Amino acid sequence: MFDLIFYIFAFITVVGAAVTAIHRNIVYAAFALLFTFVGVAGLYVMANADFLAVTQMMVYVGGILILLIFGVMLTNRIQSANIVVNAGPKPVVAILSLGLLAILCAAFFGPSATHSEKSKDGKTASVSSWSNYTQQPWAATQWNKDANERILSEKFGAPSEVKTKEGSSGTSVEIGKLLLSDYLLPFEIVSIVLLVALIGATMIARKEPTLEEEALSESLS
Amino acid sequence: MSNYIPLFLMLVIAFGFGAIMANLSKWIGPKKPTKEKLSTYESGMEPIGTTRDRISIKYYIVAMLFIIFDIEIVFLYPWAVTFDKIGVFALGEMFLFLALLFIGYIYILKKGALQWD
Amino acid sequence: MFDGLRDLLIGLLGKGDLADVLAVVVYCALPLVVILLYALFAILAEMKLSAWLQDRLGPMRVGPWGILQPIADILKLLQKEDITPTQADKKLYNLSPFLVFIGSYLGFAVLPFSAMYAGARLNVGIFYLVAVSGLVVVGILMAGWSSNNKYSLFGAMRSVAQIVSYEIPAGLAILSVVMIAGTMDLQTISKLQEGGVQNWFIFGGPKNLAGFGGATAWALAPVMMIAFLIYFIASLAETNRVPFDIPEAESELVAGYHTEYSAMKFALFFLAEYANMLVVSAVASILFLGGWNSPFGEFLGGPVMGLVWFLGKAIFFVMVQIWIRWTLPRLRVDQLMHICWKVMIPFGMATVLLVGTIVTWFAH
Repeated sequence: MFDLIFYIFAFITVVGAAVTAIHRNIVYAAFALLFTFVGVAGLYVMANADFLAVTQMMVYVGGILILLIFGVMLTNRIQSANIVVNAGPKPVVAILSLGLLAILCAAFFGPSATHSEKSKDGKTASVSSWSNYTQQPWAATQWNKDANERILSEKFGAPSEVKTKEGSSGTSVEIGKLLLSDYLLPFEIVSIVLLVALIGATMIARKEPTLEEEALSESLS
Repeated sequence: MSNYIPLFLMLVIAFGFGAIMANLSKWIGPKKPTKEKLSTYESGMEPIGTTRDRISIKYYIVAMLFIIFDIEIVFLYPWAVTFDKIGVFALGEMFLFLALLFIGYIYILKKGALQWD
Repeated sequence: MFDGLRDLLIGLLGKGDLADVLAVVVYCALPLVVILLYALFAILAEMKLSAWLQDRLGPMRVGPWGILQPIADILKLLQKEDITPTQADKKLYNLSPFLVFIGSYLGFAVLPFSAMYAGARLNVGIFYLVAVSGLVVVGILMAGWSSNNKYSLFGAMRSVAQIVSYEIPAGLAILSVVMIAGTMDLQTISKLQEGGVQNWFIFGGPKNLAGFGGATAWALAPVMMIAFLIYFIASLAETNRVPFDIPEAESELVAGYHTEYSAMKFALFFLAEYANMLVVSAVASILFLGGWNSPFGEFLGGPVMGLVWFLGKAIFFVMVQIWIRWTLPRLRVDQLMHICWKVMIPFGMATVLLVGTIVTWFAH
């Protein structure tokens, strides 16, 4: 069951990305990104990163996607135009993309992906990244009968007896602690980056009122 | 992540319910399309010009400013669930974080980016 | 709750996979039942309240005092023709009602209806609820663009600009509750407010919380009232209700982004809109007014009464929204943006910093 959900989200992500890359109509390409973003959020959840998943939804679906679509609508005559990407001579493109595919496959399945891990009893266990991946906690919990019953009765929205502030914390508390300790400098730099982004956005997008318009608004007020 | 299983099922249920609702009138409702009926509604007039025109840049500015403030809020949430366990230091950090953003806010205010006219 | 449901179904169907699967499906479909029953009620309430506010009687023909009017309306919508304009972009036109409805239904998934029932209990609960409204925004934009109608497009653009703008003050107001509660889990937030009206977050939250005592909570009370006000105003804007209904201003935009939609697709938008009203009202009552808690502590408490209190509080706010709709005039776009960016965001930031200062001051 977990595997099934994983593949559904992976499928949504890949199809969304493919439509974005291939579709001739740019508005379709922009809207297809929605499925990619939601699919990636689902994959984050499956990797036990729920805070990241929600952030993905909030920033990408609620913000970036809207900005992209507004950007498309802002651009003259692009909405009905057919977009053709001319990347170069076809054989070169084919060789390049096949090469990239080969490199990715090699990185994923190849011997270099196999790394050594010292287990508790001192033995060196060799685990390939793929099997490592499938041994994630969620993957280990198959949707079998007893796991089903255990999950549903223990965690299925059942109210637990949380009385103090130390309730169910999840990843957000960990992220908060790390942001205020180990990653303090990046955290503060983020605010500077946001400041620069604010100023840049205003500078680029805001049209300075011409003298005529200023005179007009003054005479009106 | 078993807490998210009901969420996934609810997604499926919402989609199924939506599919039934949207198709109900296709199955039940009448089908007598005429050219007039299928034309774009513009208060009874012939549609003038095209809809696929450029929009005002004001909307784009709002979306850009939203993303910046949105990211700020995203950073505030993990801080909010931990700050009282760390103390004055955490509060000071957040004052610094928000102060920097506030400078930017004053800047866009003075620049008139928040003026909708 | 889930166990009880499962036992009931096992009793009916015998032990087996069927009972388990059915139990899960019924458990996850319960919010849908709430939405549909509530929608019937809210449609009637909107008609009747508007009539009384204008010294009319409202619908009186269908059933006693017209109480069957919503059912008649649904039957009427069912018999309408499903029209897809030739100029419209068919795929996106058909997809957008789904997105809008899914967005609002997923909001219901994390609401704790009572101490016993919360569809999915997430530890990022309220943050998730803010984020999932992004789906609604994309759906609205998709509807507006694909209709290929000027009214729809303008309505969608205004609606999106307004919803995203007001998400910021709403997020800041929610943040002040999260700061006191120390969690984003809505069920835990509800539980923290147990024990009577003085423990609600609008009055500064629980007075016997580990870490800081009653004095802190009382000091927080005035700030939290402002936060509540910010959230409530922002929630009106996020559901496109008066006085923030410029996206659907019928005198200039006919019906906004769903102008071209007819029959059950229109009904889906309509349902999602009313469902959104309930979600924001429910969130206001969970975050600030104790959620499913009885205002009298143990008296009239318990899981079943909890559901009554929860729905009661939420529907009260829906009623207030309707009341406001038929009382206030509409704001202009520039006024709307002015209130959001120049009034509510500074106030929201101030509440966050004040809550932070007070909590740190007293707790350390």
